[in-house]
Amino acid sequence: MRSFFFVCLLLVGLACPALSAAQNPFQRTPLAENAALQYWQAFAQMQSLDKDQMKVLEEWNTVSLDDPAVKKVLDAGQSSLMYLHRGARMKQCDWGLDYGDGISMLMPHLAKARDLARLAALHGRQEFERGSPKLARGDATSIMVLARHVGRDPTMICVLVRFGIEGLAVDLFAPHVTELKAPYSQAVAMFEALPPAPGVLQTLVVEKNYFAAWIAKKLREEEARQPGAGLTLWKNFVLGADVPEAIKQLKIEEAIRRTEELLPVYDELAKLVALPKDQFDAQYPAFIQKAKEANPVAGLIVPAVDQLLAKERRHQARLAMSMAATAVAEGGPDKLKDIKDPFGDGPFTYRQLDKGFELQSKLLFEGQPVTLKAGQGAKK
Amino acid sequence: MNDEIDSLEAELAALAPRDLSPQLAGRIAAELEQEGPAPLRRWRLGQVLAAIAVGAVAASAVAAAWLWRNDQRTAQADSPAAPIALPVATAFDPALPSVWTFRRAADEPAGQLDGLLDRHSGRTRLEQPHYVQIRGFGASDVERNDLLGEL
Repeated sequence: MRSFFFVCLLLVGLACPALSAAQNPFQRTPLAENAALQYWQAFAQMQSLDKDQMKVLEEWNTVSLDDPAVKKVLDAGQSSLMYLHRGARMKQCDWGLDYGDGISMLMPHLAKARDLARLAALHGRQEFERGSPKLARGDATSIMVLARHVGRDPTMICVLVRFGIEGLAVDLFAPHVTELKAPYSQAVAMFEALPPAPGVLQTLVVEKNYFAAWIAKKLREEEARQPGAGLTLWKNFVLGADVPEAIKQLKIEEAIRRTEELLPVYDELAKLVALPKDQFDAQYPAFIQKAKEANPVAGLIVPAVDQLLAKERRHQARLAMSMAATAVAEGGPDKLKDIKDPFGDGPFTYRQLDKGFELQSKLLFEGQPVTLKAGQGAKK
Repeated sequence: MNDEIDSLEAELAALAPRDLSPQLAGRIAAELEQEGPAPLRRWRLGQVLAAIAVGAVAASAVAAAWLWRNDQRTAQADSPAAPIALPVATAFDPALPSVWTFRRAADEPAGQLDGLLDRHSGRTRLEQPHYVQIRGFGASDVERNDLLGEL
């Protein structure tokens, strides 16, 4: 009986805050714990940039920090950076994308997030130059978290923009790796604590169900709504000089049928992408050639997965090398013996430079080995 | 005067309470037996308090639900009867950051995606749309530009 009484009191206790929250609009609700809200405030605070300031952001890694435009950009960006750091502290991020919009879905946050990351990278570079590696490290960490938050949506574009933003963090971090004096184990732990983000493989389900299937459904709906409207919609898909004439001339029924026939191709593609790199590389060319011969619409709608995977692997190699660079900075090149190149049988290749050093992976991207220069920004 | 009072006092002093009748004593004993021992009485007190607590919970829940419903009603009453689905033409408008325009850029040689991101950052002038109008009453260019916000 006593426990029943306490349960009742507990319920009253729980109900009262809920009631007061309903009455008090100024109290934070769980909805406020969404990093995207902080990031959008950061975007809103980013002023319109003139031509010189745009160039500063674009060339954040090479522009002279004595350039007066740099000071203007950084001064104006203080609030945006504050909101960036706030957002990066939050675990949850939901950009509120509506996948029901299919290929019409708008993603205005991507360009904004890329620019915000560039602003933070410029600030971080300035902090390194000023001799404040801890502040710079905070910028690099927030950039990485922003990248993961942007990349949480399993679409090809979000994944690509994530690679781009994480790449900014690597470009900021690597030249100054010797100044950070961060242990390799700590760098690995920090990397593993980042929010998870899907890769190319995970995007194929969305590509199939929300984009390819959506196109077929929309063509059918438009044609049912008004005869001829489906074909008009199809003509929008096939705009562009690179689309074969045979596809442009398809009748609406055939366009729908061909698009629907592509859906199983995505399932086969997913199996292929899940294979080890050497097996994928061996099997993909024949697979995609066969798919395009059987259904020319494949070339229009199915993404160029080989290119996307190549970018994903290069990105993975650069991330791995940036952490390996931490180990070299901590204990010298001998430390590399314990770290395996994810795309080779042994460690990364080390080369001493006049200033800093270079790591090289066995992975080839566009015919060239993927490399990372590190430590070249260190002060004497 | 004093004599009268003294006699009344004497009469009152002589009054004594009557003994309880055996029937009354029996009834009281029976009542006490029915009420039971002390812990049982505390249990009844607990029941009363629990009932009050449950009542408070229920009242809180009803009040919260009422406030929430009022909020919902306000939101519904304020929402316009405008469509909430994006027009399909949005996908093909190069001025908008749609999945389709991004996808086409990603399939192009390196640099196209960055160029598109630059364009949606407001770095370069947006191209004039050249898509085919799908619906007669699709969103206007002004409405679409509103979707861009400060892009």
